[in-house]
Amino acid sequence: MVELPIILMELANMLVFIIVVLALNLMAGYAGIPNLGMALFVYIGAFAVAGLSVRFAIILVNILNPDFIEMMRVTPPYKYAVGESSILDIILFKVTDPAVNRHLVPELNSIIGDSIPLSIMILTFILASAIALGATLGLIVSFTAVRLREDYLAIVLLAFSEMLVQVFFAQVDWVAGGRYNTWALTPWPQKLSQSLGNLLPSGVKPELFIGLIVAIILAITTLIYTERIANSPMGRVLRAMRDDDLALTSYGRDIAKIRLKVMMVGSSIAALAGVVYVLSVQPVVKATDYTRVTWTFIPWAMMILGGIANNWGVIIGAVIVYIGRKLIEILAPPAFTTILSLIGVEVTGATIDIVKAVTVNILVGVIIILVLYLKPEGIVPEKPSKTLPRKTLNSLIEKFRGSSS
Amino acid sequence: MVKINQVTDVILEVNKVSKYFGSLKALDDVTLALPRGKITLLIGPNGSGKTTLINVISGVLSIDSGSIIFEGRDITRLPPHDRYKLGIVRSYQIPRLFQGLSVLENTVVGKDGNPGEGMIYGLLKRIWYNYEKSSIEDALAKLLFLNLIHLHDRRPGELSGGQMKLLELSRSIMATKPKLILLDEPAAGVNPVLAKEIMSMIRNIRDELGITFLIVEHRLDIAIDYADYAIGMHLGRVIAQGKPKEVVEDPKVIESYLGG
Ligand SMILES: Nc1ncnc2c1ncn2[C@@H]1O[C@H](COP(=O)(O)OP(=O)(O)OP(=O)(O)O)[C@@H](O)[C@H]1O
Ligand SMILES: [Mg+2]
Repeated sequence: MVELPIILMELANMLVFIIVVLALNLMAGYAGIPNLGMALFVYIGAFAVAGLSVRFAIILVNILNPDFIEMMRVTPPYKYAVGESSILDIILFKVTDPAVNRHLVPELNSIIGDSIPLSIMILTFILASAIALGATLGLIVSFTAVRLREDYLAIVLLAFSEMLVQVFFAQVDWVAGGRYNTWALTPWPQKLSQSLGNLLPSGVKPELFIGLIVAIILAITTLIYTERIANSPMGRVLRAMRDDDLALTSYGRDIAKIRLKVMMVGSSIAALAGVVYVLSVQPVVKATDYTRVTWTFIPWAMMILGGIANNWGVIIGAVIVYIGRKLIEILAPPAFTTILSLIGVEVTGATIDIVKAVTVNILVGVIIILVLYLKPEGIVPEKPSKTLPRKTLNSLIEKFRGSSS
Repeated sequence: MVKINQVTDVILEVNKVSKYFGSLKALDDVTLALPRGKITLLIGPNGSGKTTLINVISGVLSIDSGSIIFEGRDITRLPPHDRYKLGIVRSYQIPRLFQGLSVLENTVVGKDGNPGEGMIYGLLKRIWYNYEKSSIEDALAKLLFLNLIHLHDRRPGELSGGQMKLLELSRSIMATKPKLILLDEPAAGVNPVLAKEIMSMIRNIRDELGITFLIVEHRLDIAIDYADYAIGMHLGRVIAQGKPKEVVEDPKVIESYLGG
């Protein structure tokens, strides 16, 4: 029997993928921007809740309590790691040091949790900075997008994302923890957690429950947003841009501007998905965990399977691939262990991890190839943008057709 | 030979324009003028540079030397979408249709200025609904005229070659306030009866709205009666311009078609 907390966490995780795939679908499915850099945008949201907002929080706490950082120099356990560092040094470089971070974040969390205004300020900062970072990266990317052909752009985005996440953020320790774990803030007021704690079934942590609620709200908001855009004149012009951008410029549209807007919006949504992932599923943030397979290729497989440029379709794709992946991760290791033990090979924990990773990679590859080969439009094909109610449109069409006979 | 710009009010001037593809000179020092509110026919054998001329006027291709003046304004460096905003609209010889859009949607996209085309405004249905509805009515009227209305929900991939050309045409006559429409073989692959109807529709648009047309058309028997002026090209050069009959009968033009 699977326990309730695990089910809730998987649900939150699946909702995160739904948000990511809706954002990807907006950029790639509708607008035709081959975003192979999704992992970067999701990661940057995670960074906003962890490395970045911890700095904001420590400054804020130090303003309310001016000795806070001073005291770190003399108080164990901080003093061993902080030593004689200046305040600026501490804020910039020490907060992500694992020796400081793992004590500091719980302490900040309890200070934040005690004050509702502080909670609100921190939460606002997290959301605003995730949106700002996502939008800025989207802006940078869209400048390259103007200059490059689609296939080159895809490769450039993949390289850009890998370089920043797997090299810069993963190797430069002070920015976001680098090779070490950093902890994310949990900006919820203690009162809320306590009263929820009494209501929730045992074993379900209030943070998980609140995270799940946030995931549900963001997923629904994203779906409503993308559906309304898809069924507006904007959705139609995005699909036209995807199909033939040169023809669209001949009809007066500034495609550089359209790409810029879509990239800024889509990347911000992906960054918010990263925030939700950290708040509900994984509070320990480490850049190397944000792999291209999990956060770029899997969302692409979800989108292609569900149906490019169909929001409901890609949600179906997300659910299927998510569940498929879980099943494979559960079933593949014992299957391999059994097979290998038949030929007398002993299986270690490290082998199990490789088996999981490899089978998931194979799953992604097989889905993409099979769907593109057998049913390129996916499970739910693209539909015209429904700008007018069907009845209104049909009666207009009838009016004109009637006048022809 | 009468030069057009000596005759009448000029909407567009092409001055000493050259365009190379590698070492091939697709436009060779081309100078010409289009009279406002008239239909000008652009003729010439295959590869003579007609499409290239439309590409450089609409801004799809940049030029290597020379200048292009539209209503007294130098538009040589303007990108295509800005030229469209000034009123220069074009169609493509090989249709460039939006393959994922329905026939009706392809036509509607031809009209710009929809207030709903924004990542935020798109959400505000009440600000774009009326514009959208009238765009769709407009598009349906075009599709009705071009015998495409029964195909309104099809994708371009399901159309015949002639129908694709008609759809390409339907988009270019959707523009809100066009001044100069460049049509690259609008009736290629279309039956002669409909082709003549298209030419007479173009003449009606010219009469009603005073729009200027530059039309590439190989079938002179169909087009010549509707044209006010003609320009003959050969090997990237303008070899004749003036009244349609004179241009068609010009020995250099005849020779270019015969000699290739
Ligand atoms: N993008 C291109 N790259 C290289 N050469 C080109 C390109 N476009 C056109 N050309 C060449 O330029 C010359 C003029 O071509 P263009 O298409 O303008 O001729 P055209 O008069 O429209 O011919 P047609 O009647 O066949 O449409 C031809 O020799 C053609 O091969
Ligand atoms: Mg041509």
